[in-house]
Formats: sequence, structure tokens, C-alpha cells
Amino acid sequence: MDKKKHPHEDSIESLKTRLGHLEGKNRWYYSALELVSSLGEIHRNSNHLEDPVAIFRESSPLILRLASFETLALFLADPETSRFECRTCEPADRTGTVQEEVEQWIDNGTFAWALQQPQALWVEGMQTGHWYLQGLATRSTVLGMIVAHIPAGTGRPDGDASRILTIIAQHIAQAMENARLFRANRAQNRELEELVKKRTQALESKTDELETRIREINDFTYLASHDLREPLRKLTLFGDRLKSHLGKSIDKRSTDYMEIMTRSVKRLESQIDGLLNLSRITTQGRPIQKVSLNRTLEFAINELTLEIETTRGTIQHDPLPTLHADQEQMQQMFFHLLQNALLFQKKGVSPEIRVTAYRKENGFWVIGVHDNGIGIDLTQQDKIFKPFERLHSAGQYPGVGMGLSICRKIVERHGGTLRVESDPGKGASFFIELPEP
Amino acid sequence: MSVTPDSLIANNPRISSLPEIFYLINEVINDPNSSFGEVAQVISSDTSLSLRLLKIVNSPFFNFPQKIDTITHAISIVGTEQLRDLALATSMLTKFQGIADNKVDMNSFWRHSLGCGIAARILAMQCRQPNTERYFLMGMVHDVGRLILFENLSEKAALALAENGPETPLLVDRERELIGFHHGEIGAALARAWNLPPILEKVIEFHHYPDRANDFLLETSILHFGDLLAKAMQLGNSGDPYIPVLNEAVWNRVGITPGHLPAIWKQAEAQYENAVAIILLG
Amino acid sequence: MAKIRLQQLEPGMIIAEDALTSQGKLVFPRGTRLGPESIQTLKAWGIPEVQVLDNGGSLAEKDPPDSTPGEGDWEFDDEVKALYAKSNQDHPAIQELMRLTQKSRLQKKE
Repeated sequence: MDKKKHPHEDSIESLKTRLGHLEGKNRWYYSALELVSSLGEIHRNSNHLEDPVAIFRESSPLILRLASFETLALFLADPETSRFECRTCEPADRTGTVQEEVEQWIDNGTFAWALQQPQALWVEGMQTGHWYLQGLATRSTVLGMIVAHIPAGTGRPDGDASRILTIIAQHIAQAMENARLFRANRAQNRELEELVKKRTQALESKTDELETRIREINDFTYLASHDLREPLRKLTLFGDRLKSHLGKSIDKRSTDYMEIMTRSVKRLESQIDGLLNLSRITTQGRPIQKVSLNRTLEFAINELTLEIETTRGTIQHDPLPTLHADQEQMQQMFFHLLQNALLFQKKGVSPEIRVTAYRKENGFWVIGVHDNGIGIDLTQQDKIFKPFERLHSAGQYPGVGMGLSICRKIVERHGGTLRVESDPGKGASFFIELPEP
Repeated sequence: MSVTPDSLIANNPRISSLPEIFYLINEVINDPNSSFGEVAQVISSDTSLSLRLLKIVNSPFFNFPQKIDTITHAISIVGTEQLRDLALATSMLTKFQGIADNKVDMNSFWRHSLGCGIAARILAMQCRQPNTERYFLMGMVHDVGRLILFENLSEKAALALAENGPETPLLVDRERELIGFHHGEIGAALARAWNLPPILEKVIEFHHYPDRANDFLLETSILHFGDLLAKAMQLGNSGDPYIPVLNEAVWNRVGITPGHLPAIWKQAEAQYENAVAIILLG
Repeated sequence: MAKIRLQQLEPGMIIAEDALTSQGKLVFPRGTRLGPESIQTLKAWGIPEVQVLDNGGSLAEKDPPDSTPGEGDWEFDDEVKALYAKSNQDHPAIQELMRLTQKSRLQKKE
């Protein structure tokens, strides 16, 4: 060490040199720090650069700031074949040389060794200059290798620069892996969207099909009711003619038979009317608009003035809401429900009817029509909503048995439900649940 | 004056300073005008060290595909600082010769240290740590505090060791109770005395408590798990053979799955016997 | 089925066991027919040897049953139990290490 003692001046000179060197080193560290802190860019860019080669090209200026590589190439493992392919080489005319070198390193095991190392491997040659092999890997995956070259006569980067190069490589690898995951994630999302689209289409076509079929059924009911009325009219007409033609020569038994015939025809007629009404609910519905159920109920009550008077019934009601509905159908619904409540009455008891209303948490309005009538047996409660179902003979209680079917259909057309609760002998409660957004 | 980890080191001139050669190596590394060649020259001046280094870089420990026949070549492949850390790791045996060697089974002690170094180095490679040789060095020095304990406070150290069984608390905690500090803290004091980088000091100090090594959580977790792995592989014994509780945070930081363990085990096995031959018997 | 070093591999051979790197990356799945470039690919990944099928062998053929116990039915020596007595044996990593310790002890005995 101490071959000769330095004179004083020399040691000041050497201190100056050292200071200059340290200042230079300090500047270098500052710029290295700047570079390291700008590494976030790699990830920001990788958000829109999904191609690993593009991520590498975008990041290569950072690499070149640290080392004067005259050739810079990227090898990536093909996901299908696991083969390492040269994906980019700058300048392009060096691709062949780089590939030849890589083949040789693969052959002698150098490549595989470098791939496993977290740090870079420098392969030195006397005439060939310095080759730089830096594996590209995240903790979980090996992606490829950066291969670069510094010509002979140019110094290779020192330990600090090498370390920062490794850090850059780690960021590049992470960005590539993130981009891959991003791509995979997006592909999955697209698949999911596609699936939802397909399912929606399937549902829509199913809905169309159902609507067509409902229309067909309605059309059929409507036409059938019309076509059936014609022969009935003829039956009534020619029955009347037969009556007047036979005049007084008709005997008692024939008159009775004729009576039964006329009554049957009349009932058939009103049943057909009912059927027609039922089909009209969907085929000839009015537009849905804001409807005050208070007023609608009043109209229905007015229509029933005669029945109320004869049965000496009373009707009380809560304030009812205003909601979106078909005004005419709502009136029709109240008419049938109130009519039933007035008619199915216990002998000697005058009907007391209450109409209630409250709003459920889910936004549905529940309208209750409660009576003190004969009630409905539990086993019969499903039956009453079916067309032409009657629990009682026409003589006992009048009607064709269409009212509640019509009510249910109306409520259902409004997206609601109609149900009944009843204790036989103690009256019945009909609950209409209607949605109101 | 009470005994502290630092006083233990300071009072033991045999170990209170780095081996001479490393001062020379560091001087050259820090000299602005030096080159790889000069670092290589300094290392080569210690024949037995360079022989040992060349043996190890040509062993399965490195698995390098070509023969490396000069220190210059070794530096160019391994890196300057990496080779220095490797050199220091392989010099520990000589440095601690004669310390506590009639009280501790030295062969078993160094076998464990070597196993831990090898395991930690493999884990560090998996975690893509920049200088994996540093982890080998950590493994070699992580328990030397125990040698110093046995040299200077042999009664208490022997008492703690004698009590140690499958049902007792960890030996390191018993050391703290009996002595007031543990072997990790002595190792850290040694790293301070040798002017080693802070990372080595902290990792050695907290290798039993990886959650407390604030600035070096990942590094300490790697050494901690390497220690655990060497115990599981039953490679030597440095005092406490019992596997400690594996902390979930440590496991997550190391970031491997149980499925990785057989491959890591196999890799460590492949490197171990060779390293024993070169470093312990060579 | 035979373990073949890379030097002896020839195109047309069929891989009998997944070819994995030491880090567990799958390079060729079992059943891959080696092409002229495959050997170079194995070299690039640092895989020194692979299992290939013997002539006329079929993929269905399996290794002879392993003498080491399978999942779950491990019997641990007392010494292994003592070694892990202070650890959290319900942790999957510790469980795997226990099996590995036991396995390596069995192998050393042989």
C-alpha cells in the first residue's frame, strides 16, 4: 500500500480528486433516484399497452439511460410452445446475430442459468464486447429475457447501474404480467357480457312467443264469443216466432219447455258476455294513467245504488290512493267486488262493507274489501277466481260466475295480485295488491 | 458495568474486527479508480479464500454451466458485492475458531448455519432478491451470537440450553429471561462492529422475531423461514432444533405455496453436502 | 417408461411425466410428442432430463406404486413429533414440512 509517502500537496490533490469523484457519484445517484421514481410510468403505460412488446419498447429509453447498449432485444416464452422467441430487436439488422448468440447460450446452459437468476448475467468476450442477459420474471412466472450488447472497448455499467437495470426489468416483467391479467380479465368480462346478451335474447324471444300466444287465445275468445252470439240471437228470435206462431194452441207443458229454453239461452248469452268482458280486459284495455281510486270507488258505488237500497247495505272506505291504472277497469273491479259483497249475504243481516288501504314497505298498495257475508270455505277459495265457477245455484244467488275472474284478470294486468281470506259464516276479505313506483 | 451485546463483542479482540482481507476488499470496492480486476487481485492474494470461492462457484451451489477458473471470471458472473458477501460467509469458520469450541458441537453448529444459509439463499432467489449471496451470509452468521454467549456467559447459556425441550418456551426467549438479551442481539452487535450494512444487522437481530424487523420485514422473513427449513431438514443443530410457530404474515411475505416446498427441499439437499465438503471440511 | 437425459432425447419421443422447471413452471405437459425444437426448448428452461415412454408404451401406464404414504395417512416418528411440538401443526406449510421431514428420515434409513 504505502510504496511511497505522499508529500502534503499530493495528498490535497488526491483529496480533491476524491471529492470530485464523490460529487460525480452523488449526481449520478440523484439521477438514478429520479429514474427509479419514474418507474411508475411503466405501469401507467401498461394500462393502455397490452402488448408485452409495446411495454418493452416504451420502457427501453429507461434502460438506455443507464447503459450504452448498442443492441437491445427482447425474448419472450411463447405461451403455447414454451419456446423463446425474439420479439423485438433494436436495431433490427442485429436480430440474426442476437439469435445466434442466444442459440449458443441455450446450448451450453448459460441461458437457463441466467433465466433463474434475479440479477443480470454479463457474458464477457475479448473481442465480442459485453453481452447482458437479464431474466424477465415476476415472483410467480418467468416471462422471458432481455438480451443486450455493449461493444468491446466500452465500459460495462457498474454494480449500482446493474442493480437499477434489474429493478427496471422487474417493473417491466410486472407490467407485462399485469397487462396479461388485465387482458384475461377483460376477455372473461366479454364472455360474461356475451352470455348475458344471449340469455337476454333467449328470454326476449320467449316473451315474444308468450305474448303471441296470449294474443291468439284472446283473439280466439273474442271471435268465439262473437260467433257464438249469432246463433243464440237466432235461437231467441225463432223461439219468439214459434211462440207467436203457435199462439193459444200451445199447451202448458210446451210453455214450460219454452221457458226453460229461453232461460238457458239467456244464461248462455250472459256467460258469453262475461267471457267477452274477460277477454276485453287485455285486448281492449285503456291506457294506464293516474287514477284516483276514491273517485273510481264512488262511481262503482253509484252504479250499485239499487242493490244497496234493496239490501240496506252500508259501504265505508278509507281514503284511497291515486295511482297508475286503467280507470274503467278499476271501476269494473270495484263494481264486481262490492256487488259480490252485497249479494252473498246472510239471510236477515244487512251487508256492512269496509274498504281499507295501506302502503307496504315494498311500495305496493294493498286495498282490502271486507264484508260480513256468508264467507267462502277454505277448500273453495281457489275455485272462485275461475271463469263460470259458481259455489251456489243461480236461484240462491244470482250471477254467471265471471265477476271474480274478471277482477283477478284486471289486477294481474296491472301487475298486482288478488287474493281472498275468509272464515265461512263470518264474511270475506278480498285483498288487491297493486304496485306503485 | 453491566454486560451488553456490544460490550461482549468489544471485549473479545479475536472477533471484534472483520478479517483483514475484507478491509482490503472494501477499500478497493470503494476506490473510484479501481476496476473489477483490482478487486479480483485482492481476493486472489488470499489463496485459500480464492480456492474456496472457486470451488463453491463451480459447485451445485451455483450450478453454473461452464467452468469458472479465475476470480475475475467469478466476479463478472456473480457480481463484486455478491462475491464479497460469499467470501465473508465462507470465512466465518476460521474467524470463530477457538470460540466456545469445547462447549458447543462446532460441526453441528456450522452444519445448521450452512443449511440455513443455503435455504435462505434459495428462498431469496424465489423472491427475486437482488443479492442472494447476502442471504447465504445471513445464514452463516445468524446464530454466531450463541457461540459468543457460550464463550462469555457459559453458565447461563448452558442452563438455558439444558432446560430446552419440546414443551418449554423457545430457547431464544429463555435467553432473554436469564441474560437480558438473546443471541440475535449479539449477532447484530457483531454486524455493527464489523460495519456491515444495516440490513444484515437488523435481519440477524430479529431472525426469531421477523414481525419486529420494521424496515426489513421481507428479508427477515426469508431468513426466518430459511432457519425453519434447515431445522425441518435436520441439517446440524445450533442449539435449538425445535421448529417454531410459522407466523401467517411471514409465510405470506415469503409468498410461496406448500406445493413449492418439495422442490425447494430438493434443491437445498442437492447443494448441501457439496457445500459442507467445501466450506466445513475443505 | 424411462428417465432420459437431454442428450439422448430424439424427436418423436413422447413425454410421460409433465416436464417442469425447478420453479414448477410447466414447459411440456405429459403426452407431448417431442419435435425437433423441443429439446432446445427444454435446454432453454434448464430441464436436464425428462421421462419418456418406452417403445409401444401407452400413456395409461403408471409409475409403480410409491412406497411412501399418500396424503393424510402419514405416521410420524416420535422424534418428528417432538421436532414440531412447538409449531403450529395446523398450518398447511408446517404440515407439508412434517411430511417432508418424515419422508427424508425414511429415505436416510434405507
